[in-house]
Amino acid sequence: MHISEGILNTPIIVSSSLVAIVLVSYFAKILEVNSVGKTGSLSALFFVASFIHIPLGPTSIHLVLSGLIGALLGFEAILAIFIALLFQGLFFGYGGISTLGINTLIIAIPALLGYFTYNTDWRFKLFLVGSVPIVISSLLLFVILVINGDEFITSAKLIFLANIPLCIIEGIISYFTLKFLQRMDF
Amino acid sequence: MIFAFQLFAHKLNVFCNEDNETIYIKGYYTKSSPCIECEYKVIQYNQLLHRGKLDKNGTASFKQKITKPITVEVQAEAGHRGETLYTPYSPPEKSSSIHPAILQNLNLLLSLALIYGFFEIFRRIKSR
Repeated sequence: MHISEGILNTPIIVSSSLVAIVLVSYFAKILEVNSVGKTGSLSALFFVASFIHIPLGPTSIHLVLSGLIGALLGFEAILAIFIALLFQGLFFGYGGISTLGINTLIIAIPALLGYFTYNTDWRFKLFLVGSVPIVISSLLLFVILVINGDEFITSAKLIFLANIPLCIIEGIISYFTLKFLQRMDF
Repeated sequence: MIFAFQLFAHKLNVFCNEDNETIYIKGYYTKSSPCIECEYKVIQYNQLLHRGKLDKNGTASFKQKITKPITVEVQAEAGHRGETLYTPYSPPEKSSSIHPAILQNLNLLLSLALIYGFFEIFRRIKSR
C-alpha cells in the first residue's frame, strides 16, 4: 500500500504533504492526554502489522489494519498512522519521507471509514470495518498512480487486484478482534 | 573516406576474460580474422605481469590469479595495436558482521521504542 520514493510527480507530493501536515497538526493539537497512550499503542500495532507478510502466488501482501485502528481511535488514527509510516520510511524504506504525506492520506483517510462503520448498526459491520478501508485505500492508490502517469496504469491495476484478498483477510481479522473486544466490554 | 574505411577494416580488437585463475586473451581484426603470432603484454599498475605471443587462432592463456585491474596490449604488424582493460570481479565486502535478520529485528525493536518514546514525550508536553 506504500508508494516508494521517486515515483510520484512533484505537484502530487507537495499538495498531499501540505494536506497531511495540516491534518496531522490539527489532530495532534486536539488529542487529549488520556488518549495518547492508546494512540501510541495502536501506532505501534500498525507499524508491526506491516511486517506480517502473507504469500500470494509470486508476490506477497502485508497487513495494514487501518480499519481496525480507525474503529478504535477515530480521528486520532491519522496521527497514529502518520507516526508509524514515518518510522517505517526512516528505518525500513517502506514508502519514503517525500511520500509520507500521500501515504498517510491513502491509508489514514479510509481508516476513518472504519470508525464510522463501527458506529453504525449494520449487520456485518465488524467485517466491513476491516475490509472497506482497504478497498478505498486501494482505489485511492489506483487513482493517484493513474494521475501520476499512463505508464503506471498496469501497475495500478495489479496492485488493486492484489489487495482484494487483503480486504477479506483484514475483514476477518477485524471481525474477530472487535467481537473479542466487545465481549470484554472494551 | 576510403582511407578511413581501410583503417577501420584493420582495427585490432582485444578481449580478455578470466576463469578459474586463468587469463584468456583474444585478438582479432574487424572481419574476425585472428591476430596470428601477435605479441601481447599484460600490465598491472605500470608493471609488466606477463608477455607472450598469440597462437594461430589469435588466442593465448596463462595461469595467473588477479585481484586488481589489468591492461592487455596486443601489438600486430604494420603498427596495429589494440588494448583492453579488464577488471576482475570482487565480491562486495560484508559491511556488518550481524546477520541481516537480526539486524532487521533490532531495527524493528528500535523503531517500536522510538514510537513509544515519541508518544511518551508527546504526553508529557500535553500534560503541562
